[in-house]
Amino acid sequence: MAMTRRDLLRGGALAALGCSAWGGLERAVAAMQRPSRAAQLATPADTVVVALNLQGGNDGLNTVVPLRQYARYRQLRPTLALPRARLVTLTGYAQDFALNPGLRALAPLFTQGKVAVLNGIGCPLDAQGLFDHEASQQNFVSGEIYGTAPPQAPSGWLGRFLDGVSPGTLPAGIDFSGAPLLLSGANASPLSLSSIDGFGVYPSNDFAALYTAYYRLQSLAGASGTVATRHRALRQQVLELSGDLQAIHDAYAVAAGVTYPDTYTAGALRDCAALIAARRGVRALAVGLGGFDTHVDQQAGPPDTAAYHEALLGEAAEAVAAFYADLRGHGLAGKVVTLIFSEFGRRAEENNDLGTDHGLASVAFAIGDPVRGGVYGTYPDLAADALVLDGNLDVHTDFRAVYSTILARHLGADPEPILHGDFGDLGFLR
Amino acid sequence: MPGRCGRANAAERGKCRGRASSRAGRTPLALLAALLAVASAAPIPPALATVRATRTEQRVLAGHLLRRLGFGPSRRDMHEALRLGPGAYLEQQLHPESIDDRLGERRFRPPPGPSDDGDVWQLRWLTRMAYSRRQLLEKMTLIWHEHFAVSNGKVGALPLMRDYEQLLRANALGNFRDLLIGMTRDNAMLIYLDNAYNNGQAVDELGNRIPPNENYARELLQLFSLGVHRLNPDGTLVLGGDGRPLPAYTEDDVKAVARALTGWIPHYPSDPDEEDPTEVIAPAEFADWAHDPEAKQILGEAIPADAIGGAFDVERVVAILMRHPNTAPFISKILIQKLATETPTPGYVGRVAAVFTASDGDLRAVVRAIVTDAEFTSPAVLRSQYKTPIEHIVGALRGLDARSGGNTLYYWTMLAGHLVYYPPSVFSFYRPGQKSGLVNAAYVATRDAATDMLAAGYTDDYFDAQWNAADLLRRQRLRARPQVAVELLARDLLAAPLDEATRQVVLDYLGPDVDEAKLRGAAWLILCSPDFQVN
Repeated sequence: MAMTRRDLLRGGALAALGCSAWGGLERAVAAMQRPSRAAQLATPADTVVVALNLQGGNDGLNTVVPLRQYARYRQLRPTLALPRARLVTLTGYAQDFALNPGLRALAPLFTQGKVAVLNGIGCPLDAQGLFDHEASQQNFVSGEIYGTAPPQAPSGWLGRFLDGVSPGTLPAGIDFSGAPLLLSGANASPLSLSSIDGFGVYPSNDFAALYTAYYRLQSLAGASGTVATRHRALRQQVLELSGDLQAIHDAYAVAAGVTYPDTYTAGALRDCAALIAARRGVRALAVGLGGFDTHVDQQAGPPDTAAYHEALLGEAAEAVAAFYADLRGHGLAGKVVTLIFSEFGRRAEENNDLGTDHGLASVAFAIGDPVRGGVYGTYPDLAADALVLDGNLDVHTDFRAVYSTILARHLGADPEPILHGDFGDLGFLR
Repeated sequence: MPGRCGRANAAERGKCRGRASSRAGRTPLALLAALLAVASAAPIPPALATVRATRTEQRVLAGHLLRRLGFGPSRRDMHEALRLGPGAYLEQQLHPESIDDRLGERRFRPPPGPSDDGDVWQLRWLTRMAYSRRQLLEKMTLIWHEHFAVSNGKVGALPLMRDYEQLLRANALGNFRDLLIGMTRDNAMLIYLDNAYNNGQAVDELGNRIPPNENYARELLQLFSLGVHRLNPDGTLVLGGDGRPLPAYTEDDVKAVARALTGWIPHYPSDPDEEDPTEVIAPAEFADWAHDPEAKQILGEAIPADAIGGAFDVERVVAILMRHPNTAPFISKILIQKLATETPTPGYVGRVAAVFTASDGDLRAVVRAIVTDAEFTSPAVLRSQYKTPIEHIVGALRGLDARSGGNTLYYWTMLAGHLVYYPPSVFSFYRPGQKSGLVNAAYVATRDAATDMLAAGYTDDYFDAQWNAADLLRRQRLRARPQVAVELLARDLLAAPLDEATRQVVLDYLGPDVDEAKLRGAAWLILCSPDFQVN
C-alpha cells in the first residue's frame, strides 16, 4: 500500500479509514436510520456564529502591522518585521494598517466592507494568568475572567446563549476541535465532530443482527455511574444523528465557483456551511486551528517551514474566504458572522529564537454580511513607555465587548446575563 | 497499635489497611466491605452467589487494581493478582525489577534495525503496555509522558523520543527530583520547549542583553512542578483577602528560571534525512559561554552570581522547586487523578502529599500511599473513571488476549488524539482531572469501530490485531453454551458479571448455537457496553 503510518499522521487518516473499514456500509445504514424529522418542523431561519479559534496565542503585531509606527516596529522586530513590500494593503487605511501576506484572501472581502478588524483586544490587565495559555483560552472561551467566574460548572459564552434558544433537530452547538467549552452551557452541550462524513457505527460482519443488538444495548435504561451514563447517552446521540449527518453531507453542494482548500480548517468550515444550509437549528459552531504558539522560527526557519506564521494565517484566511463565498452562493451570508480570535498576542519585542513569547493585546476579525467593514478599536502604541507589564502591547478593548456586540446585534440576546456585565457595543455589526 | 485501627477516622484506617495489605497480602476487610457495596450493584447469578461470591469480589478488586495500576486485566495477570492478593501484587508491581518479564518481552514489537522506520519505537512502547507484566511501570511511564508532554511533531527526531521515553521509564517509580532534572536536560525536551541554544549572554546591536526564551521556564513552574496557584498542603487553593486565589510564582520568577537554565545544547541524529533509529545520541551539553552567570532570585531564594558550575543551576532550580510547598500537593493530586479518582477529597490529597514530602519525592512511596488509601477502593472510586483512549484499546486487546505488533494500537490511539510521542501541545492529551474531555460523540463512534475491527478479526496493513476466537470456542466448548460464553467474555473483559439487561441483549443476539462469528459479535457488544467504558 502506498500510504505509510506517517502519511496517515499527516492527514487523511479518517478518509483512509473510511475506505478500508467502513466502505460501502453507509448507505445500508442510512436506510435503517430513523426518518429525518426535519420536514415535520418549521424551518428555523436564524442567525449563526462561527468561531475560529487560533490556538496558542496569535501574534497580533505581525497579523495587522501598524504602519504609522513602522520604524518602531522594525526596531522591536529586527528579524521578524514584515517588509513593507510584502504587506497587504487595507483599502481605506493605506497609511494606517496593513495585513500579513498570509491574510491576502481577506483583503478583497475587506474592500467589500465584509471584514471588521478589531484591534487591541485582550483581557483586563489585572486578570490572573494573563500569559498562561490555559487561563487565557478559558477566559476567551468562557467569556469570563479566570478565577472570578460565578461558582458554577464552567461554561462558554456561546453555550450560555444556546441555553436560551429553541431547539432544532440537530444540537444547536457543533464543535470541530474548536473548544467544546465555548458551546457548553448549563444545559447546552455541543456535538463534537471531526467530520460529518462517515459519522456513525457500522459493525463489519453480521451487520443487521449486530446493529439491532447494539441499538437495543444502547437504548437500555440506566447505567451505573455518571461516566457509564454519559457513554450510553453519547451512543444514543450517535445512533440518532449519524444518518442525518450523512444525508446532510451527501446532499450538500458547494456553491458554484467556490473551491475549498485542502486543509482541516477548510474541511471543517465546509461541514459548517452544510450544517447551516440544512437549517436544522444549528446556531453556533466552533473550529480550532492550533500552532500559533510561535516561540521559535516564527517567520523564516528552515526552507520547508518557511514563513510558518504566515502559512497558518493563510490556512485560516483562505478557508474563511471560501466559506464566505460558499455561504453567499447559498444566500446565507447575511445570517452568519465568523469570528476569528486567539487567547493572547505576543510580546512586542522578538526573542532570541526568531520567535515571540506570550504577550497581551491581539487582534480579532469579524467576517460576514452583517459586518460593518472597517478597523475598530485602538491599536496599542509601540513606544517603550506605552508598553505594559514588561514590554507588552496594552489592551484597549475588553474581549467581552466583542461578544457583547455579537450577542446583542447578531444573535438578538441580552448580553448582560450571559457576560455578567455591560461591555457595550463596538459598532462593527449592522 | 490495635486501638488506632479501630477508630472511625478515614486517614487512620487507610494507614492501618495499608500495613495489613502489604504485610500479609490478604484482602483486607475494609476492602471487602467496599466491594460488597459494588458487587451488589451488579447482580451475581443465584447459582454462584453462595459458593463463589468471595471469588467474584476478589476478581472485582483485582480488576480494579489491574485497570488502575496497568491497562486492564489479561488472563495471565488476573491469575497472578488473584494468586498473590492485592497487597502483594501491589508490592510486586512497585518493584518491577523483581518481575520476570521474559514471556511478556517475547510479545513486544522488536526494536527497529538501522534501516527501519523510527516509529517502530512507538509500536514497541504500545506493545509493552499490552504485554509487559510490569504493568505499573508502563502505566507510570505513560503518566509521566502525559505530564512532561513532548511531541515529535516539533522535535522531529525519533531517536531523541526513544531516549526521552527511556528516561521516563527509568525514573517512573524513582524520585520526582530526578525526573525534573532529567527532563530539564533531555535533548527532546530542550528542543520541544525551546530551551535548546537558549543563549543567556546574547546582546543586541546596542549591547543590551536580549532576554532568553521563557517557554520551558514557564511550563516547568506552571505545569511540571508548582501549578499556577498557591496550594495548601491538601491541594486546596490558598485564597487572598479578596477571596481570590494567589499566584504561586511571579513573572520575575519565570524570567529568573529562564536565565538559570540557559546554555544547554542538544544533540541530534547525525543525518536528519536518513534517520537511523538505533543511533546512539549523546546527552545534551552545557556551554558556559551561553549561560547567564549573573545572580538570580527565584521564589524567594537566591542563586549567587558566578555560582560554581553554571550547569548545576539545573539542580539548584530543581532543589528550590522540590522545597516549594506547592510541589507535593500539586504532583500528588495529579498522580491521584491519573491512578485513582479525578475528584479526590482534600484529605486524600493531603495524606499522599504528606508522604511525598516525608519521602522527599519518592514516587514508589507516593504510589503506595495512593493505592493503599481507603479512598482508592471506596465505592465512589471503583469503576467510576473515564477510560482514556489508550486504556480503552490496550485494555480491549488484553481482555481478548489478542496479538498485535502495535499497528492496531497505533491507529486507534492516533485517531483518538492519544498517540504516544504526539501530544497535541504542552498541555498534553488532556489536562489532569479532565479525562471527560477526551470523550465525545465522534470519539465513541471511533471507539466502537476500533473494537469492531478487533472483535471481528479484520486485519490489513494497518490493523494487525488478531483474536483467536475459534480457539476460545473450542477449548471452552462454548458451541452449545451461550450462557457460559457470555459469562466468560464478561469475566475476561470486565472482571465482573454483566448486568441482567445487557446480558439478555447479548444472549438474544447469540441464540442457542454459538459459532465463531456469533462469539465475535457478542464480544463486540460487551466491548460497546457502558461497563467496558469505565475504569
